[in-house]
Amino acid sequence: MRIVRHGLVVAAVFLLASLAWACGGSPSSDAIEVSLTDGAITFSGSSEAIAAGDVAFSGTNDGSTVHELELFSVPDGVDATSLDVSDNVADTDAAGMDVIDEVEDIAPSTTVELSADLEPGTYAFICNLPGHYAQGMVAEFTVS
Amino acid sequence: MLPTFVIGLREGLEGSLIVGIIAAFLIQRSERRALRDMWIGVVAAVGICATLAIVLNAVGRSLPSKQQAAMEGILALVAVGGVTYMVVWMKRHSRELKRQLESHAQSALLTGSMFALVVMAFLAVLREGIETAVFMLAAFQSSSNVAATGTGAVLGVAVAIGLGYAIYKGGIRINLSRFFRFTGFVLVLVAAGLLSTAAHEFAEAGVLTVGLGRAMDLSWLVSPGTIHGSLLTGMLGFQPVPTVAEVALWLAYAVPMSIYVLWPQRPTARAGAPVGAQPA
Repeated sequence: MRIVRHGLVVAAVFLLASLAWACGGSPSSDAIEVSLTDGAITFSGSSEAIAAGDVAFSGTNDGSTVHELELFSVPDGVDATSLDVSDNVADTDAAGMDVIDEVEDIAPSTTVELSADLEPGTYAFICNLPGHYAQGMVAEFTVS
Repeated sequence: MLPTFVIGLREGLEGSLIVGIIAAFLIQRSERRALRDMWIGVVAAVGICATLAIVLNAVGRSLPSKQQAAMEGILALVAVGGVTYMVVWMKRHSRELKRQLESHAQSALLTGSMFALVVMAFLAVLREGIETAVFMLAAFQSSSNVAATGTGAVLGVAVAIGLGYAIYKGGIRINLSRFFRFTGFVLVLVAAGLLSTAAHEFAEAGVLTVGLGRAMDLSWLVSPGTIHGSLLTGMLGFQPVPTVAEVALWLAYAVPMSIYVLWPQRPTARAGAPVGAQPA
């Protein structure tokens, strides 16, 4: 039983640490809706005039296969919609794009939440599962 | 239904594989007490992950992906250490264990190692459980087609557990020296996969910043969304498009460790009959 107690202590610490992280930010009000289809990422509502700050997105997989939603910052002079593709995936590293946050394994007809503290600039959502970027699963947007 | 089935299968595999092998080993050793402790640990890990998912859902927050990735990377490294320890220990003690088993001797020498095995089963389930819990919750909570999504997810995890059980059943049937060599080899591949998974998680967390170039395109082999793809990712840690760091770590671990495990053990005390030459 000593063993189990050790395990439980480790786990409890982990649980509390995770909660501390999770509760760090305040929940945002209205989430910006993003739709993933097989071959495109689109903003369901208006994508204009996203204000800087804590921005919440809700991504829905309206396609037929599993997708992922990766949020990148896009440096000046880079066009996230025309990146080099090597080995079937977009070469975001070569373009100097950084992952801000991501949600993997989004099953069809499932919605996920993703929020990030965004400064003014250009950003992009990409699904970089093999082949998906080349099919058009990218959407650029600006934060002002 | 298939998309969530495949994800559930992939998520559940590594944990059930490790738990299956440990359970088979403990049964072979007649370590009933340690086996009971192991099950308590596994149930505790599942409970913790479920609680975490439910609490996060209640407070309306998702686990930040970078921290989640970092945590999973750390747990993967701890699991690599545990599995490596188990493999080396099995190799070193297999002869001695066999003798003890035959004479039904109980050994105090092994108590510490039993403890390590129990903790390892707990950590293996905990690591995969976090991702699975988050994914399951999404399947049930935010799906517009809960019946199909949820059924697929549950079936996927159930099949993964079934495969772990089959490994366990197979493991208690085969003789002990074969068991050590076979499971040792399987565990080496699992640990190599875990190491490569750790590299993947640390890259996602932004901790690992070198070797992130794509090494090759394995998506023809490990195509996302297929059953064979999830078996390969779930058991061996193969990514569809692995990075240089992931491939390098996989090879750096798997090649020497496989040689170590599969290399025939030289008879020490008695010269003569090579291993495996005795009539069955």
